[in-house]
Order: sequence, then structure tokens, then C-alpha cells
Amino acid sequence: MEEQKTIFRRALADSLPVMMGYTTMGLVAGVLLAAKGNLVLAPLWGLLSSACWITGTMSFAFIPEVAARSSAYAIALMTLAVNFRYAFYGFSLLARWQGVKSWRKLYLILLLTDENYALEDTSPLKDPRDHERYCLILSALNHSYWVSGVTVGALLVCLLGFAIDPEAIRRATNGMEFAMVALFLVIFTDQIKGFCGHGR
Amino acid sequence: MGDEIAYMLGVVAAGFAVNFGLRALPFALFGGKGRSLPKAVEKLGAVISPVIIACLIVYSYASLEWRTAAPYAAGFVTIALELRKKNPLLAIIAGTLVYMALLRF
Repeated sequence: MEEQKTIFRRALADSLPVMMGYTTMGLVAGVLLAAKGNLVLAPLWGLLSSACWITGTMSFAFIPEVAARSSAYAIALMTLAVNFRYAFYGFSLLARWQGVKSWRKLYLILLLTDENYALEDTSPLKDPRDHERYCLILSALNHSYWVSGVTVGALLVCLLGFAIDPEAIRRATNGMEFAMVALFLVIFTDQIKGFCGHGR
Repeated sequence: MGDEIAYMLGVVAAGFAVNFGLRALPFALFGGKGRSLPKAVEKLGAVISPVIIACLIVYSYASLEWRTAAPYAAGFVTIALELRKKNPLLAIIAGTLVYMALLRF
């Protein structure tokens, strides 16, 4: 067992690249939601959808649907098509999470984003209790980055109205999304190195 | 306003059900208490992860400016730094800065 503090530090350090991506992508998603969603309560939409879904792709894709007032059923079908990959993530975590208790496990499952999955699955922590704590801290941190990004973005547009130009924000943060791709590249590089060297 | 709240709750609930349902699927199928995993599932779990990560890389490149050299140059910098310095954060920040700079060229 590792010390609580060491695990927290590890999770925090691993979450920093995710923070770069989630806060900026979230901000842009929130700004677009408020600017293009044709909504009165955009910040509340941003808060609830980001907190309950935690999916980047859908947070952008659902905006025109909502603006056109598509049915919840249509949006559910779209989510199914866009996010089907999520159904595969659990397979490699089944064994490691076997001892995790009910509510914690449900939270970890809800938070299985691309980035959380990649970090949690490749984490070198051997002890299942250490790994559980690492996953919980990492999930909560990344959850908070994403929710604050989206909510702040939507609030900005609501409060400052036309002073905010969605295009300008998009232009300023353009390219920040590479942080997520770089995270996958680094993880993949380490995986391959592990396979070529002395295995995992 | 009331209409919008009802619509919002419906949409959020629908998205939640599908996202959570997809993520929970493997656990619902094989995660029962005290049940041991079938051998095939255990094997799948072991080999699936690099495959998923590779797919994520391809998938996320498609949403970048993949017709230009920028994401490949930035990817090269990221991987080279990770191999040399073994410092993920450094590699990720450097790669991202290279990508952002190249986009603004």
C-alpha cells in the first residue's frame, strides 16, 4: 500500500494534461452551447449535461440538435452512435475493479471517459486498493475540470452577451485539443515500450 | 421557461442513460459479485487496451488538421520527448505548443 498523499500527487500530476484539454474544450463547448443552442437557461444546461454525461464529442454534437429542439429520443440514438466505443473500456478494468464497492464503482464507471480510461488502465499501481483510490481521485479531478469548463463558458456568454465572440474564443484556444492526443501518444509509446522490453 | 426545463431534463436523462449504459455494459455482463471472469473475457481485457488506445489516436487525429503536417510534427515531438526524457507532462505540453504554433503559421 502506498501513502494517501503519494497517490493523490500521482493522480494530480496525471490529471494535468487532461486539465489542459478539458478546461479549454469545455469552455468552447459551453460558449457554443450558449451562443448557438437557442436556450434561455444555457448555463444550467451546461452544468447538468457536463456533470451527467462527461463526453466531449456529444457536448458539441448535441448543440445543433437542441437548437432545433430534436426529441430526447433522437439525442439518445445519436449518443449511442457517437459514443459506442465506451462499451469496450470496461473489459480491461473488470478484474482490477472487482473489489470496488457499489457507489464508488458506479462513479468510476460513469466517469469512464477516453482520458480516464487510458490513464486508469495503464496505471502501474499494483495494489487494488491503491488503484481504486487513484481512480477515484483522478475521476473527481477530471470531472471538476470538465464541468467547470463547460459551465463557465456558458455563463460567460450569458453574462457578457455579445461582448463574447465564440469564433474568437475558438481561434484563441485552437490547437489545445492536441493535449488529449498527446496524452494518448505518450500512453501508447509507454505501452509499446513495455511490450518490447520486459513486458507489463 | 417551464417547457425548456422539462425538455432539458428529458435530454439530460436520455444522454445520461445511454452514456452510463454503454460504460456499464461490461460490468453488467461480467461484473457480478463473487463471479469469476470467463477465461476469454480475461484475455480480451488484457489485449484490448493497446488496441483501444491506438484507435483513440487515429480517431482523435481525424478531428485535428490531419491534412497538414502540423499534427504529425507535433506527434513526433511528443513521442521523441517521451522516449528521451520519460517525462509525460513535458512531452504533452511541448507537443501541444508545437501544434498550436504550427496552426498559427
